[in-house]
Amino acid sequence: MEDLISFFFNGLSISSILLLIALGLSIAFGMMGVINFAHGEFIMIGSYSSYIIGLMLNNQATWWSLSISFILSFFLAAVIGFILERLVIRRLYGRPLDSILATWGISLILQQTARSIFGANNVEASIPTILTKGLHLTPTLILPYNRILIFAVCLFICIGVYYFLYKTAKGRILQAVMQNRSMAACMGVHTKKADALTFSIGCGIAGIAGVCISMLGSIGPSTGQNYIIDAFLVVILGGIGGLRGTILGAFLIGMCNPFIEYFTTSSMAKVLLLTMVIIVLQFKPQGLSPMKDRSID
Amino acid sequence: MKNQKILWGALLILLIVMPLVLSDFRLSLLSKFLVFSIVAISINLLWGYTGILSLGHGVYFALGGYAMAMYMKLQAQPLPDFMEWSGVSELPWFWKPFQSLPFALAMVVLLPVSLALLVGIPLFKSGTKGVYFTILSQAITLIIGILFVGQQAYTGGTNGITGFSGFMGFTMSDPQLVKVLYFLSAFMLIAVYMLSRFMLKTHGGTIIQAIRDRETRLRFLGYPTDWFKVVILATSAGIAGVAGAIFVPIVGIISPSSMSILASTEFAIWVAIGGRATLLGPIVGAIVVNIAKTGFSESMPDFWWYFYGFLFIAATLIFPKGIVGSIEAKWAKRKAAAAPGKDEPVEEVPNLPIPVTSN
Amino acid sequence: MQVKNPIVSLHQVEVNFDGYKAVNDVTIDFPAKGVHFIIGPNGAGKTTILDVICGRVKAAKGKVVYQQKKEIQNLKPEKIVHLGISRKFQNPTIFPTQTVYENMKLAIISGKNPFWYLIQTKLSNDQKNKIDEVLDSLDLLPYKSAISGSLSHGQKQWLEIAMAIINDPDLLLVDEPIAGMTPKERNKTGELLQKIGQERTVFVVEHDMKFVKNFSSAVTVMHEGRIICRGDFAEVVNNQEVIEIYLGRQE
Repeated sequence: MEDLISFFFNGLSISSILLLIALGLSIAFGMMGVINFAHGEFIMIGSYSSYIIGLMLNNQATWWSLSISFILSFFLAAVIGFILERLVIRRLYGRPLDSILATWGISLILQQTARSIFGANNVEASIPTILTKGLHLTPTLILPYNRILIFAVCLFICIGVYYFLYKTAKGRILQAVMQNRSMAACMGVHTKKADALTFSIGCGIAGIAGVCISMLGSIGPSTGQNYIIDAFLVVILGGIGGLRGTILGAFLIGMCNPFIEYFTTSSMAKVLLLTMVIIVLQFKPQGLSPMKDRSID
Repeated sequence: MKNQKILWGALLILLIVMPLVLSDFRLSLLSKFLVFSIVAISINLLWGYTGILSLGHGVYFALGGYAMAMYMKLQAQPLPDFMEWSGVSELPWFWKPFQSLPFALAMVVLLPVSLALLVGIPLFKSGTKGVYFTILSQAITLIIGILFVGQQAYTGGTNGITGFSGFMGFTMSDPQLVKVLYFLSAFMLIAVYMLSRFMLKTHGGTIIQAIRDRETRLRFLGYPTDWFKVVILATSAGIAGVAGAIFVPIVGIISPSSMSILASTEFAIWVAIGGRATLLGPIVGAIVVNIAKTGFSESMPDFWWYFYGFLFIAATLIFPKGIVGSIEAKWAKRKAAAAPGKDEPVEEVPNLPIPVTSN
Repeated sequence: MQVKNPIVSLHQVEVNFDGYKAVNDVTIDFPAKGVHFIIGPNGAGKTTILDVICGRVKAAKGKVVYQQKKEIQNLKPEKIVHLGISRKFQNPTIFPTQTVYENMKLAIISGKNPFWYLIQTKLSNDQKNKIDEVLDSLDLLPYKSAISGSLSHGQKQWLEIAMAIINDPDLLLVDEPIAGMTPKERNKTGELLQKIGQERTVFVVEHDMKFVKNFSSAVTVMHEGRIICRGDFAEVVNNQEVIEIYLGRQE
């Protein structure tokens, strides 16, 4: 029983991370028809930001430094994302297959840059010591504080995104661009600005995911690669463009891994996970809860 | 015709000049590149001509390779060393048939084709297309790779299968083997090239290109396009498997890294650089990019990744037609200029889906 | 209205798009042979009726029965084509980078015997003659080797009709065929459809009332997903409800 609670909790924090990563991907694809395979590298940028801050403080991280890490990673990732969008991504709108290849190339370049700056080996980002401890529910059941924090961060961001998308005027404009770009443009919406904004925010959120990941273990140039495929599976399973679908997908995929691992091995877990996605696609080819639901086309 | 002369010339150089001129080491490299060209052709059939981008073809390549490797390993050691190291004392039942060459050769094609059918049928029948299919293809190769790494006792794990004694009667260190493998790769490449050329001339070839251009229209003409996609995927997988099988004796090893996402994505970039939807594009792309890679890796390995990444971007943004595609386009323009009025310029009609109008 | 041996019957068919009922509880029998026009204001559900019959959209409720024996609402579009139902879309949907001949080739093979045809490279003489015949009846024979993307708008429409009739379908579904055509082309199209209607059944969705008047054998009027009335053109045009719906829409 305690094991189950522990697995559930682990799954929750993995789901949170996947959700943060998948949000940016889903909205970028829904709005611009672009698949960003360099998204993993924005995670990496976030992780390294946290590492750098820790280094600057001689590995004595505090709550202040952690907060700064979050903010720095968001802005760094967002700015780099913005530059990328201006230079490359915007030329790929509506060309998802080509965008996969082009962004894969960017991913190679970014990973090599990280290797040149930080070295190829993994490093540890310093975190406040309290986060290494946990909440003792029982003498043997400990809920690690860092995972609680990750969940809290994710919740905060989700609420923020929900509020922004559905309750503010700017958010409603973004939804309009996602649902009917040409019509929105006819109504005077500066769609190019909307795209740049959305893409950057998506990358920024990925940066925050990177900080969360750095709280869980060591990070390196290929940290992003470990999460990218799972994140894409979240987008495929959940459906494109909406918050609801992405949450559902992240929850299912994040939870499945630890649960299935409990019963079999880690590689079998991945096989079963993929099989589950393919089976779901049989009945709902657009994902569980897509924003755009069209008939045959 | 200009085309034919160039082709025959290249063939001549390939078959006669190269083996005389190149050292064993470089000939072996060229054989590897020729094998890569075969994979590139298989990707092109699926992508350039049918419009389906698979970034997970490594798994089919590797399955063919593993089938061949299992045969070759059993020739060297009746009980493979990695099994002994993992505490397996008796050859597992699914390894035993690989002692026979005909069985192994059949598996080289059947293993990848079976996987292609296993994933292709549910995916295509439920209408999976475009990016969804591409991402799922990556997930598939990733996960099979993880599976292989995990089952160390049966597959050799991360290290893969290596330590072969010989191939077709030649020992691994025999210098003659290099030439034999070279001719094998060259002939297989020519065979696959001719096969793909034939396929494209048939009705089947017209149909898959129509699937690429306007699939919905084709369905309303009565074509079960999902089945066509399954068949072309399976064919492509089989060709990749054959390439994998020849690859193993050339490099002397097969490991899960051959089915990594990186390896699979590289296949696609060769096609993109060489020219999609052209017959020679994949061959040119595979050879040119790999020569560059070998050259750079020797002198400036770090810089290579920057350059490689840039190549990906260039292939999609700057010259989407690829090398062969751009040359063919130039020739077509010159022909049109020489005989004015004969070929009316066709506007580039975008690949529009049939609009759902409200009536 | 009692219809003997209807070619298509809809029973309480409902088609839903995210809650919006494009086709709302429609029950109707369509008689065989002739050119039946389906008219109505925008959003009436006309194209959706065609879509439901040919399998492009799925009915949320109800049955579609073909030739009184086959229920087709759950069949895949390619199977429906093989039953003898052919569709021409509103915008010319041909293969623009292929020649007219290659377009017809794709149409005539029709995916009926897929695996045998996969390895063949030539068409039989019968097939070649048939293609020439059909192209000729639409005055497209001189353009056989032209790239279809370079044809005029009207010619592209005719090509699509040619592709739709080459396999002798029993039912031809046509969506706004004369949009963008000159008056002469419209006449020609109308006569062509009438000729096809002598041996087969044609359903046409159209807006142009003159065209409907000149070439219809029967007319069905739809509005907001329902059938309002049907009959021949004179009856329909004098129907009070129809007049109200079309107030100000006389051509």
